Amino acid sequence: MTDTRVLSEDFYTRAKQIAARYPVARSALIMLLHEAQDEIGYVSDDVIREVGSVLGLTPADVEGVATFYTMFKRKHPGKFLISVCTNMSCSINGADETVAALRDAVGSEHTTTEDGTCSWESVECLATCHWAVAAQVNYLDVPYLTPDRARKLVADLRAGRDLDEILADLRKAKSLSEARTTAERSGAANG
Amino acid sequence: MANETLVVLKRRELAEPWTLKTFLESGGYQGLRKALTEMTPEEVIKVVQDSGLRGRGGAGMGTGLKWSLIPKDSPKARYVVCNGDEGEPGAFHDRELMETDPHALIEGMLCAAYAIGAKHCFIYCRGEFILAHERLANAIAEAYEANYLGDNIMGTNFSCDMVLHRGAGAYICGEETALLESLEGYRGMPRPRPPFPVTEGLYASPTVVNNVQSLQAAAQVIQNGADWYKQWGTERSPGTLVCSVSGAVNDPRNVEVPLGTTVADVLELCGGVDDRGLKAFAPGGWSTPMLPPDKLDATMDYEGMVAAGSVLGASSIIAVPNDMCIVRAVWRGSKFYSHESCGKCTPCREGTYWVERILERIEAGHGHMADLDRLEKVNNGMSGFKSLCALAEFAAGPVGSSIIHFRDEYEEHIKLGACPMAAEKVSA
Repeated sequence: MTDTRVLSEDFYTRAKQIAARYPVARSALIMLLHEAQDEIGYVSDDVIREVGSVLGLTPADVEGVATFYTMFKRKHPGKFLISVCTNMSCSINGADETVAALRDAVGSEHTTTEDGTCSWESVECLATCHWAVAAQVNYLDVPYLTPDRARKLVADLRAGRDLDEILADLRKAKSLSEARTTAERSGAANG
Repeated sequence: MANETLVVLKRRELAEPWTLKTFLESGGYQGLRKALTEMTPEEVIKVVQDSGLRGRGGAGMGTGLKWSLIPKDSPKARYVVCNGDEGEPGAFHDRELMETDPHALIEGMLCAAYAIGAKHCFIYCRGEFILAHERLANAIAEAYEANYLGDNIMGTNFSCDMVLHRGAGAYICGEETALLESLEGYRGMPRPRPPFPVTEGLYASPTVVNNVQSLQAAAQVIQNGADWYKQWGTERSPGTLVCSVSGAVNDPRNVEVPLGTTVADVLELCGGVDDRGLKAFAPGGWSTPMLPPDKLDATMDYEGMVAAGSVLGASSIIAVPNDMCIVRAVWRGSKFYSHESCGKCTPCREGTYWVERILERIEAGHGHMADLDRLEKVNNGMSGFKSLCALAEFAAGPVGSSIIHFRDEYEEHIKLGACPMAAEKVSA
């Protein structure tokens, strides 16, 4: 049985520790699904079965919970998942144009570039409305994702540039208007 | 012009305010020390009640009142749960408060735990908030290390543990009973009330569920007294309030002001409306009825907003610019509610579904005049507390208020057979 496990020994060790924090072990279910998804990349059938085995829950029970929450993915997204907010404050500040740029650069929503690097999704309010158009890459915050910055982000990720560096660059902009003008300049410089 | 009054945001300009070192150097854990060493649990509840502090999560219930409702004679364990699942469109203050001042949240939760006799606290932090989660996890570790958490806190008889929990993407979990379901490892669907969480909450035990800002403010109230807090705000809405301001403003950000500050003053603190001009604003997040610009003198407090025809909600102003089509905006909002409806109650599940489709039809130019009556009919079917939680009321707010204030825009879409603003864009 152990041989067919997809989750690491380390996962099982941590899973027991996390479950022990709660008066009732089942409370740890969402935390364990996060841990497993971080390790495997998505919530696969194996993940559902194995997380269930830790907590004594049936696969159906675990799947029912996993599919309720949008962060849990039943299909493997790209190595980098770009989430762009299209809710009100971001719509007001150009989210539709950013979505169009991502569709152009990556493909339709929830598909992945051929090289397996990038997927994108439209999400609800990320609680960074002051950074509209708000976005995240693998849940790390990205401010002011204008269409130009979105195109450059995808190109950088596909070129294998370090994510921390990319994020640091994107976070230099201190306002939407600054992000717009800087992107134009660097777009002109870098082609 | 109004000034900011920094109470819960007072550490925002300090160096690394999320560290225990900065927190202690700026008066941190003094409220807890006072509670544990100088006050009885009853006195703690009383000072919070006397301060008039009201829950900042949306419902506006007195924080001290909530604490006082925990049954004194229950043999069950009691729990304190912090609702850090901020997801209301336009709201971003709880995220900043957790990211910048996590120890203040721990302190507030410990004060609540002492007041109600709890030994376990849970922070339900929204799943997407990686930085907040990291800062809270570090702060909890520091607090255990320095004996602000664990056994015999600060050398007293009071012991308490704290667990940091992550959500996973579900707006509905910001509703307190759905949050409790989620925290128990289930799908986040609201529970019938009664019983209320104060008697049967987490694991069917007495539970206080408080918002981030309420807990952080409570600790300062305990430290400084009820009269200190009442120096700000109005008689029925005392204290200060963090407002998130976004949309068509020049400097979108969180500002903390005394309750009773006008919307106009709050917008002014954020650099004013940008050059697109103001068509409408939602005062408490998108889920609160929108108001036209002639209501800019409405005040950000519980009573003032009701008088103006909306609600304070999550005190998050979204400025809608003149170049935004109202039908398109309300349609976009309606997609959010139909996506986030958990599907448990029929009025919400069906209502949000049909409202979205009718609005889509009108925006696309295929609407009929009868659709406006139909929208109002569906809206009435959703509102009036026909569901277990308020999500359907939230969904109804923007629809109903936009038809009141911008009926001409809807009619124009229907008569023209197209979105007039989209047509303008095409011809331009």
